[in-house]
Amino acid sequence: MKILQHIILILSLITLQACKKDRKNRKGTRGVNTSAIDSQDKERSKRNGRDNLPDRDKGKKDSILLLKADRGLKNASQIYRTYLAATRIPESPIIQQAYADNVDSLPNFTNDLRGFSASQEAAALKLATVFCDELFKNATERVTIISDAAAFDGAASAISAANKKALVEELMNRFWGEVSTGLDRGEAATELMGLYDDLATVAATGSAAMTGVCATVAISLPALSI
Amino acid sequence: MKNIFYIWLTLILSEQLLAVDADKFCSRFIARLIGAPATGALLSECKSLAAKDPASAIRRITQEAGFYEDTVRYLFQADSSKDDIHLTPFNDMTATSVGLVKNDQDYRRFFFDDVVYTCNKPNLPPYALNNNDHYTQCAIGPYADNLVESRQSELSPIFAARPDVPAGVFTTRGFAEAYYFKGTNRAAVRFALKNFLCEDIDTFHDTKVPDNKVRQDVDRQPGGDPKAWVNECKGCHAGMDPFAGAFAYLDWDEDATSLVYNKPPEGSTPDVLRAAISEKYLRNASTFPGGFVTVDDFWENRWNEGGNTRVNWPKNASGNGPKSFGEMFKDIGQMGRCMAKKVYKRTCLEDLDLASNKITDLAKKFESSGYKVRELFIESGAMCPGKDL
Repeated sequence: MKILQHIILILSLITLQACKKDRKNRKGTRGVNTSAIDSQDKERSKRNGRDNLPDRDKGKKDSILLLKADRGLKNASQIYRTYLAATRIPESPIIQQAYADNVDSLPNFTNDLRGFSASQEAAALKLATVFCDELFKNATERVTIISDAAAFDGAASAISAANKKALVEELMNRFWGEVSTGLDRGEAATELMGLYDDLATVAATGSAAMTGVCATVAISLPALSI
Repeated sequence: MKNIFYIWLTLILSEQLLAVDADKFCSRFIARLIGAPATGALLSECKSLAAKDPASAIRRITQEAGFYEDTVRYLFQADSSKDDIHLTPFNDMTATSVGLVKNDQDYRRFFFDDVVYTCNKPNLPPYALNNNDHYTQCAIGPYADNLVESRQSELSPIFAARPDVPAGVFTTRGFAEAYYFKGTNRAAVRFALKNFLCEDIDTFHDTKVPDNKVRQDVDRQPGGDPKAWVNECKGCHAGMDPFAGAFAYLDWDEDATSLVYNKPPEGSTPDVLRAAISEKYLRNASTFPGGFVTVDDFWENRWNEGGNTRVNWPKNASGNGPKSFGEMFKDIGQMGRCMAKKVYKRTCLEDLDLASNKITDLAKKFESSGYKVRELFIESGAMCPGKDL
C-alpha cells in the first residue's frame, strides 16, 4: 500500500511539474475556455468549405489557436516505439503480444493530452511492466543500465547508493530523453530512489525492484508527452 | 563609433531572441516525429543543426526510419478504414503512401499512377491480391528501408498487359477491401472526398445539381415524402453518383478476398461493356425505374459549379474509369490543402481550418516543392507555434 502511495506521489509530482511548465508556456491563456474554443473549432470545421470564414475571422482563429496547448500525448504506436527505444530489447513475441493485448486501451491517435484517462494510463503501465521486466531479465541489456551485474540478482536492499542513482538517471535519460524537459530532474531522481527503497522492502531481487522503478518512469508524463 | 556599437548590440540581442532553444526544439520534434525519446547521435546532430537552421534539424529527423514507420504510416493508415481506425493492418495502400513519401516522390502519383510499393525483406509471402500477408509480415520489425516501388500492372494478374488501367490508390487491395466491399461503390467517392479532400459528403450538398445521373436504387420519395428527396438526398446523390461511375467495373470478391476488375478489352461492343458492369450498380432497379442505368465506367463532375467550386476542381470534368478519375483528383486544389492540414496537425498538434492562412501558405509550399510530403512536414515544423519553447 505504501509503495502504491509512493508511486502515485511521484507521478503527481512529475505531472505537476510538467503542468507548471505547460502553464508557463501558455502565458496569457488564463480565462480562455478551451472547451468553448473546441466547440467553435468543431462548428467551424463542420461549416468549413460551405461558407468559408470571412477574412477578419481567419486571423482571429489563428490567434485563438496560438493560445492552445502545444503539448500532446503520445499515441499507442509512439508509446510502443518509446518503450522499444528506451529498453533497447528486441521485439520478441512476448513484447508484441503485450502490445496486442493493450493497444486498444492505449491513447488513441488524436494526440490530445486532454483526453488522457486512467484506463489509458493503466494500459501503459501494463505494457511498461512487460518491457521493463524483459529488460531486467535480459542479461546483455540490463548491464547497460548499471554495470554492476551482481546488483540484479542479489537482494534488492543490497544495491549501492551509486548504483541506485545511476539506475534512475539512466532510466530518466532513456525514457524522457537526454535533454531537460522542464522538470527538476534532481527532485524526480530523489523521489524515484525513495520508490526503489520502498520496493526493496518487498521485492525479492534487485531486478524486481528495478522493474517497478522502470515502469514508473515509463508511464510518467515526460515519457508519454510530445 | 557609438552607433556601430548599438547596431552590433542590437544584432546580438535579436539573434539571441530569435535563437531556437535547440534542446527543447529537438526533444519535442524527435519525440513527435519518430515517436521515441531524444537521445544519442540523433539528438546531437539535431541540436547542432537547430541552432543554425531549425528546418534543417527537422529535415534530419525525417531521415530516420521511425519517421516513416510511425508518423507517416499513421498519417495514412486510417484512410483504409471506413471507421477511421488507425490500427488496421499495414497494407498496399498505406505502403504506397509511405513509399512515395520516403522516396520524395510527387505524392499526386498516389491517385492515378501504375504504382504500388512492395517490401523486399527476405522470406516474405509474395505480394498477392487475395491476401495481405506480404504487408502484415513486412511491418514486423523495421521496414521503411525495404519498401520498393513496383507496378500494379506487373504484379496483379487482373491488370496484366493493361498498364492504362491501374489508378494508384483506387486499384489497391487496401482501398478495395474498405470501399468496394458490398454496398454500391458510392463509398469510394465519399471516402475519397473525406480522406483526400478533408470534407465529408454532406459538405458538398447542393440541391441545384440535376439528378438525372442518380441510379435506380435510390428512392425519390423516401418515406413517401418527395420533398425529402428534393431537399436532402438529392443534394449529395446528384454529384456523388456521376462520380461513382468511374468504379463501375471494380468490386470486392468476398469469397476470394480479392479486388475484382471486369472491364472488357478496348473495342468491345456496348452490349459487352454493359454486361460486365458490377452487379451492385444495377441492383434494386425497381426502387425508381426512371433512374439512371449505368452502361460503362463514364464519370462526370457535376459539382464544378456553385458552392462546390471552392475545392478548385480541375478542368477535366469527365472521363472513363478510375485512372482518369484519379488524374482529375490529383489536380483538385483542395487536395494540397487537405494534406497540409493533416501534416500540420500531426506536426504541430493543431487542427486548423482548410481556409486558414497557415494552411493556404503550406499548400502553396507543398505545390512548389513538387508535392513532396516530407517537405510539408519540414515546413509545418518550422511554422508550429511555440516550437522552441
